[in-house]
Amino acid sequence: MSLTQTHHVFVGVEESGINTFLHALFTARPHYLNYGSPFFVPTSTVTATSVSAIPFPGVPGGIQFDVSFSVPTVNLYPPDPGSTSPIPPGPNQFGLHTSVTIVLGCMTWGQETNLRSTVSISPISATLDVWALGTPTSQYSGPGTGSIGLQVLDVRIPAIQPEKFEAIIDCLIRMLLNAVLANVQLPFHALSLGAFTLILEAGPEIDNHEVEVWGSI
Amino acid sequence: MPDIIAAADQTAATDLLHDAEVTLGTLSKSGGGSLGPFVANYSASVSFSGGTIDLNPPNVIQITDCNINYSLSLSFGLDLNDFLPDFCLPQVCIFGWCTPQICVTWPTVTIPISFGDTARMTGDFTVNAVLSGSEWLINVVVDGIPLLEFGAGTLGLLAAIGAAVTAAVGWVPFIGPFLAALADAVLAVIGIAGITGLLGDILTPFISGLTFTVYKQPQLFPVIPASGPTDPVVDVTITALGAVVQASDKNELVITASISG
Repeated sequence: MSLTQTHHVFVGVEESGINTFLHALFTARPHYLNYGSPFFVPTSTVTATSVSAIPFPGVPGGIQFDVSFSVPTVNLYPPDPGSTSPIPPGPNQFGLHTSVTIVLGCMTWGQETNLRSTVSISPISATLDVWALGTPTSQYSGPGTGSIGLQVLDVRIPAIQPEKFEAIIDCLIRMLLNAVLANVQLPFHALSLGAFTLILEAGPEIDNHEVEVWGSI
Repeated sequence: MPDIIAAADQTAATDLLHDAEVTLGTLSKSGGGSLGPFVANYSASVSFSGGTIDLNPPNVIQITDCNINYSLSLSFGLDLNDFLPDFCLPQVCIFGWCTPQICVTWPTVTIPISFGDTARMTGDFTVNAVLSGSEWLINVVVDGIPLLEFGAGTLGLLAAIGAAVTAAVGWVPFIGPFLAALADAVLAVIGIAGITGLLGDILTPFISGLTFTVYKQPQLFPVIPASGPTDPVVDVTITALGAVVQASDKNELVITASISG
């Protein structure tokens, strides 16, 4: 069976290639992985993105926090032998593994005898192993231009108990991870390393440990 | 195992070739060659267009009917004495006074010709990937000397030479009666063989080692361009690149690449 099948061009990016792209992206732009409220990240830089503290009545300045993901790696269907993911990828799916470190600015506040308020913040953190499941997406903005993205469908953080609390954290991390992965948009031309101006006709599909697209030029 | 596999069927490979022809642009050379019995100096410009591809495993790309669009400026010296008879004005005597016999010595004139046409080329090429400096290239390189077809261009050049000869000698005194015969005689000694020989001499250097570059990218390949102070360019290094013609239910040009982040 030809690679191009009924189309004129084919591009397949192996799992290792996708992981190289992800490593390159998040190494060049680590602020996609690191977010913190002003106590932790006063201003946005290439390293980290500053976000607002979570407002809560009575908490001075809001709840300070920091969330950092490690560079994710993907496992393209079929699952790698020996993978310990609790949610292995099915057909046309990818598995994703990362870790998230959540830091809470644990605040104590009160009033001293001279009526001056005092606030102290002690960061406390936890790092969780994160397994996710998702599908590839494509954005098509015209002949030859577009990109491939990743969308997370489900997340498992096995270390969390009880189960209902895990569901809350799973959902939270799924939302955060989808926001992080929204920055992963691999242009069509990059998939073929500039060999083609790809007019997408089919895909992206995941099979044989690779992301596959078909089209014409 | 490569990180990326890209494949193009014959239709797409033909498109890649046509893009490479445009990228190659216009090539120019100058030199000298035989035009029948004459030595012609020329400057020539050539571009390539069209043609279809047949992918033949394991590593042959046959290009059929690729147009060689050429334009020539050539000139050659024509010694009219080689073609015209000796010509003398007879002695005339009037009242005992006689003019001397005057014999015309025919000059050597330069015949300038401008001509353009399209020849066709069919030949086998091989595909190879090379790292040239900091750029990866996939070249389609001619294997040997392709078959050239000049078509009607030979007759066109012959006609252009005839017209150029007529125009170039118009100033020569007493040539009027010989003009038509001169052009015919020059064309006769050149002949079709002379034209094809010269065109072959001119075009062969352009197609000897002819290389179409169907892929050219920096080794440090930019995946995503920079888009602000906190979003620098994202690039990967192409550590290996390969290109082969692969057979299956339809033949394909297959490009493989390994990358590192």
